[in-house]
Amino acid sequence: MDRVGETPGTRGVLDDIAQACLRSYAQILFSRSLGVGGLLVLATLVVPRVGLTGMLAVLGAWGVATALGYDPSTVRSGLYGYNALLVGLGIGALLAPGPPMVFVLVAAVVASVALTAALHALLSVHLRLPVYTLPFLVVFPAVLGVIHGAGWTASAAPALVADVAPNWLAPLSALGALFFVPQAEAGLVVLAALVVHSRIATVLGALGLVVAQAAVVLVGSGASTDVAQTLGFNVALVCVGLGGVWFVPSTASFVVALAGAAVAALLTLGLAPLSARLGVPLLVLPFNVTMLVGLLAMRQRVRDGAPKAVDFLVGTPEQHLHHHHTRVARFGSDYLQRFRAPFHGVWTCTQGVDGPTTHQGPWAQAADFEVLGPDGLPYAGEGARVEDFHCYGMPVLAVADGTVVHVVDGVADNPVGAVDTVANWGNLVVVQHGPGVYSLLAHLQPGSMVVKAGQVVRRGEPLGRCGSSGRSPRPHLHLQLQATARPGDATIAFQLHDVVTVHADRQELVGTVVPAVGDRLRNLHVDTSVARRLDPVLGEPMTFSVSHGDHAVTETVVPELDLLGASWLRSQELGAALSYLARDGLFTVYDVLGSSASVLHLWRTALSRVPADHRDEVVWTDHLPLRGYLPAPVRWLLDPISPFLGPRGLTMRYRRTREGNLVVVQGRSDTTDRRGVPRVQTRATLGPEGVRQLSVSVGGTLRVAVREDVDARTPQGQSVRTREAS
Amino acid sequence: MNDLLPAYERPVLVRHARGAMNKFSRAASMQPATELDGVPYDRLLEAYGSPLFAFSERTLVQTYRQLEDAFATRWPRVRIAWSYKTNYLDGICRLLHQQGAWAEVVSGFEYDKAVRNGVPESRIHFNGPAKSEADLDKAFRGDAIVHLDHFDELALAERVARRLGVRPGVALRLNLATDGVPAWTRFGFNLESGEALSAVRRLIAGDVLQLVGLHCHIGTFIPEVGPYQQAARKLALFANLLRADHGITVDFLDLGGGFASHNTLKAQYLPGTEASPTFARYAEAIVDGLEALDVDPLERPTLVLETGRALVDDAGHLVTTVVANKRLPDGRRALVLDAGVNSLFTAFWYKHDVVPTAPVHGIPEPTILYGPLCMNIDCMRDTLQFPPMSPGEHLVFHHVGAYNVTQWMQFITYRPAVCLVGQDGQHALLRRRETLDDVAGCEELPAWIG
Repeated sequence: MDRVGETPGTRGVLDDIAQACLRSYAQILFSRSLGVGGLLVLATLVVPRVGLTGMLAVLGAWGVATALGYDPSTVRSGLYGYNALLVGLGIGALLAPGPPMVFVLVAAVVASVALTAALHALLSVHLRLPVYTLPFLVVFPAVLGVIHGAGWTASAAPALVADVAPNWLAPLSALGALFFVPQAEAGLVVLAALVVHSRIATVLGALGLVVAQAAVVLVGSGASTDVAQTLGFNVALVCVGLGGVWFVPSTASFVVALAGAAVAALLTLGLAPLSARLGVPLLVLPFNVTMLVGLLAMRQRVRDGAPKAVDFLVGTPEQHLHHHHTRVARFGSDYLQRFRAPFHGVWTCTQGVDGPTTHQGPWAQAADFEVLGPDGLPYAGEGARVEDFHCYGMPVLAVADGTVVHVVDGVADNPVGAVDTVANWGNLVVVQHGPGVYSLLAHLQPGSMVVKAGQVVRRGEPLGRCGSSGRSPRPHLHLQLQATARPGDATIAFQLHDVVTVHADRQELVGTVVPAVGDRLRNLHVDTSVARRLDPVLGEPMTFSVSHGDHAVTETVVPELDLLGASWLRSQELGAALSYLARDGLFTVYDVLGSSASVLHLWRTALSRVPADHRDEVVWTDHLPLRGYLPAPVRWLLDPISPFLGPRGLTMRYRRTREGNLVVVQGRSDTTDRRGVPRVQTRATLGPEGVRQLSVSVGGTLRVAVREDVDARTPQGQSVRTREAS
Repeated sequence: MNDLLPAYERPVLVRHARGAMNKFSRAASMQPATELDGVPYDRLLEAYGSPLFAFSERTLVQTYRQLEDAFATRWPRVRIAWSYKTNYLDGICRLLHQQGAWAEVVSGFEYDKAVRNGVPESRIHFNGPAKSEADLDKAFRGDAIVHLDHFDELALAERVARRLGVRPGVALRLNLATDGVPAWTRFGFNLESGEALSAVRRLIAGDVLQLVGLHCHIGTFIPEVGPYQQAARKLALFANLLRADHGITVDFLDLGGGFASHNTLKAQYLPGTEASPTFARYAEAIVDGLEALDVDPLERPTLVLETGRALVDDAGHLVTTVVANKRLPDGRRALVLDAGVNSLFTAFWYKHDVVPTAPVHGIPEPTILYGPLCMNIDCMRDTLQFPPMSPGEHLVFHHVGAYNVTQWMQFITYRPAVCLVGQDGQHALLRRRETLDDVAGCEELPAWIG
């Protein structure tokens, strides 16, 4: 599956084995949690023979995968172990200990690992699909065949025989049956593991069991206990998979999950007679088929929304939900690219989306910009000549990286008041920013174009100058986004990103803005000295003294680049990690993983996003996932209903100020307690050497982290280390 | 009022000067200036007394925005560093810092004043030819940007930096030749002679200071844009050379100040309101010159402007009261005002635009405006066509915001009060009128005189 949950820790072999084995158990419930794995081990041990065989199988799988030299981190993720685990549990349920069992187990484990590796290569690389339990579905019937063929007594484990569960415990038995321990007690432990893993998944699983039960009632006495159990875990797994693992939990994902449940139920009941005739149990075949078909089918949608596919780091359904909501709230969701303003300085929007004059019909998603003087007029002097207009002749810039695909030059500027309806777009540049994303900048000055078709441009690079050609009665700049390359094609959603809106009393950085008439916009104007403070020096450790109640703990954080070029702050003591990006004058934290005691959680809350704009008075809003700031019981109670509550992020308002040479970032949440005090309040100070102090107060509990390796009294807050070195 | 008038004035013959030869003659159409942003001058005088400097917040802020917009729409990174020496009244400085201006100072005193106004030290450009060791110590500790003026200062800066154990970023002040403007060779390192390059090499060899900027300031009150284009181009070419030969990429190019305000120099024929280029024209010329830079468009250095005069001159007004009328032997009328050149230092340079604060009647005649000092030099305005004024009536001098409230002196009279008219019509003091205690407070009496 994925390697996200990992944080650096001890790398001993025992640790590796423990991780690989426990995660193999957890994977079956779509979890990567060691705790969930541990609970599942307990569940299987309800029937000791089954549980022990399963453990032998995952140990064997670890040995085989390690001996074959597979990627250690993938081995630790449990990928190679969970099919072997299911096979092992099955063998444990059928065969008593003895030479035949050992032979079958060894062969089956080797086959499971190899098959998993092979299918993983095929499916994940070519179809971007998971392996699920397909290897188990191939290996286990083969094992059954061998047992029957050889005439080995298929002695069911003692506990399996005696079990006659009362009807109301049937759903729990179904959960246990997934692990070949169809006991209500085992089912209860599996349920506990599911609750620990995810409350949303628990609700989805329960929903699946209800559907399964309903299907059994519908079919009547046609379903045996076996079939009912198979139906139960297949449908429950489908519900969890579609409703929360592969799609962001929401009403829509629940609908898809129910639809998937119906399909899985149909498959199970429909194939049951066939499987009975062939003597091959259905096992988790309906689940695998439903999921693979469902995922491929859902990917054929033109627009990935309702439900939104999980196209980011894989975690628990709760994490998916909050990550997605936070991402949309912070960055918008329409484009992969970030579009900045196509000009230098402050321009004013003079016609927005759905404008009254020309931004209508297929061209509604567009904006016009002009420069207004302090008197509010777009021109100085008489305004009778295009040269009188403030915006005339000003550089026009690429809104994002891309390739110039179309340039028109040579259309004369109109006299003020006149329009050219023949060459109505005037001089223009079309830049392609990605598949199906183009920007058009129109009405440019003739002869001002400095790019040619085919040229690669970067964001902020000059393309030409603002003019008044085409349907332009006075100089202005027209910008629109299109899905196609021809100048003047229909427009798509208009957005600018990470621009500063200029107000009389404040300068506000806005993540996503659709400008309205009168909005004054400019790009971030980076103050490199502020940007440097926000960009931790790679490899240079930062030591913090972090308060925990009444005592302080020393924690060292090291900025690192990973293989893919992503930057991380890693806590040496606690193994926590914070993913960030410091580029183009913006410091942005994407996520933080690991121990909540770490200073990195304070960092994320206090410095979630900071612009290095040259104006100290800049303010901005950011969104943090609310979940981390709620007490655990409240969090768990809210989880089951959270998919239906809509975005519930914590809206934080930040501002940057100065105290002498220190840059200060202060934040407060919109949500307040009963006395009107913001639930979360933050304050971070940055000296020339970077972060000096982080204070975060959540619900009145204050935590402070102070840099220990910086002597604030030395000139320029010089690092003690450097000073000693010199 | 009539009590003040002389009982009898001998008649004189006044040549009718209506419609003078100069097509910009104001005499025939002299309009009084009765109010400042809606606040009558009379009310300001009532509140703060005469004479009085009055600043318009609206004009100051609008002029700042015009300057910033003119450059910021043409160049990706623009920084305006407020030239403290032009006007370092706290209120004026803070208004400009609120607009985003950094500070440009030329002495330890100005440095402290900027810090007191809340300017982070790392946002101070420290110029000037005579920084002391203590000044450099303070600037390096505070991470300010020191502009080096000469080799002795370079050596001193290295000593101070070494002692502090820091590697400060510094700029080099250059002087260079431009057509039509006498070169200010006394400041900085000369570009054409190769001195500037020597300074760079010396700085690299010293290995203590980091070169982060280049600075030039071609002169003051330059009513032409051509020299700026040339200066910008020369700085750009020098920056290219540093990149190519020494691998140094500077963070900023500082074009200094010197833009003409709307005043009229004494030797100037056209009035400044007509002759001085707009900010847009200066910006066009400078950006045109900077196009010579051989750097990626996304990594262009910050353009620093140290504009002082052109930012604040138009916002300042001096209101005075007529003390007396005189008739000179040559027939000219003379007015004695209550404000003199000790307050309006720029009267030595400019033909200030001056008008009455109330509607005028009577025939304009050649009039010379004198101040209250018992000194022959105290002439506020050379002869101009001016309507008759009576004692107690008021005049207002326009475009006096720059250099006066810093270069004024306590001489014979007290320095007048300075007030600010806010954007919403409110007004308040920026500096009260001096008192005897202010002036005598610094004095000491030796014991034996006692």
